[in-house]
Amino acid sequence: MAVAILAFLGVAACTPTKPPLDQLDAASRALGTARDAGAAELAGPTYRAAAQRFDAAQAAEGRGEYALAADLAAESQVSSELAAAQARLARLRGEVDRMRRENAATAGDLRQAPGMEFQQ
Amino acid sequence: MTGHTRFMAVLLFAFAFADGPAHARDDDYMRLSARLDLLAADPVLGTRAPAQMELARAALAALEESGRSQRTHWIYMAEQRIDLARAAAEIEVLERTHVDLQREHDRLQLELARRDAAAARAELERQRLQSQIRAEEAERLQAEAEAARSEGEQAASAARAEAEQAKRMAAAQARATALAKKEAELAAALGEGGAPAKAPARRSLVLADSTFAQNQSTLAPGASQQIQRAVALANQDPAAKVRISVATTDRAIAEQRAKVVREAMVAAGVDPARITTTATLAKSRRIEISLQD
Repeated sequence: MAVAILAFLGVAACTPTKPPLDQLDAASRALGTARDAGAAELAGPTYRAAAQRFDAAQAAEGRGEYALAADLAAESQVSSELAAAQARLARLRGEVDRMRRENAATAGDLRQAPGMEFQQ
Repeated sequence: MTGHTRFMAVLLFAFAFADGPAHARDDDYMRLSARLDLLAADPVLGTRAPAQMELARAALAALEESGRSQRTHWIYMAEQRIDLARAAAEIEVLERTHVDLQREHDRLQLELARRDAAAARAELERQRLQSQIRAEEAERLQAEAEAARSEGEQAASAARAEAEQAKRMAAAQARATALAKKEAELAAALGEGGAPAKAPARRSLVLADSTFAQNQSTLAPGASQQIQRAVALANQDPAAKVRISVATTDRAIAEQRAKVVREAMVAAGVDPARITTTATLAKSRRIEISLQD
């Protein structure tokens, strides 16, 4: 019986007793950064997953389920970071494609110039 | 065994097995581990974004050690962390490609300017030769006119043609001068000597680390040169929006630095309505000024 009580107390001690405000704040800021990076448009699914998890984290915190709230906040934060990275990737890809086309066109102009040398 | 004792035994059994670590290498762990190994072995991406790779490994290790109640959470975390590591590595590669393309763009523009200048010089030479031929023709006609006054009108016509040709030659000369100036500016921009000139298609620049002292948000002595670079970029296209992006390891410092750079650019004459700022957390410090269409 003593062992059972100790086990029960051990599990109870692992349950957070304070709201995970720091985690929620970090998740909120990460979501804002992703939004500013254009993730809502350029990385829609990932950004929406981050926003849904943040809403769920707030709801869990409101119900006093602090461990669940902390997990959801961490998931929201990492999804926000991923959404921001995906948005940055999309922009970079567009810019690199544009510059490749522009450089190829300029190089073509130079090659076609009659009587002019083009240094490759 | 009393009913109470039986209840406590059942409770103990439940605690012992409800949240024990799932040491078995289950399908999810194996799948995610294989994905991370694939990324690490990639010849291009494998050595990039080491910090994100480390976080992905840590999430995978947490999944391996997690109890049943935490398993879903750590599967999600590991998946996202691995995707993030791949995205961060791809960003690094693309940023390098972007820099190379910008360099290639500048070189091609210089080549183009040189070609145009050479063509203008050739045109000038052609005009000069034509002018010389016409002058000789006019001289010959004038001599004939003097010999036979009745042919005077023909000589006047040649003289008018000569004047017209001189006008064309002057125009070609002006064009050659302008192209030579452009060539010199581009050569200076690529570091071939001469005074600094603005690159024709530059849309962004990174301010030197020395703009701010470490962990400070006030401009360092000598930062005015960096601010002038930013102002020159902004003035290059007065219709474009100017974006100031600051990344440091401290968000508050990043925001304050963005504000300080903005104020300095406004003080130097840049329209405040054109300027937007962003501050982000990052391991590497960076201040980037970019023009937005």
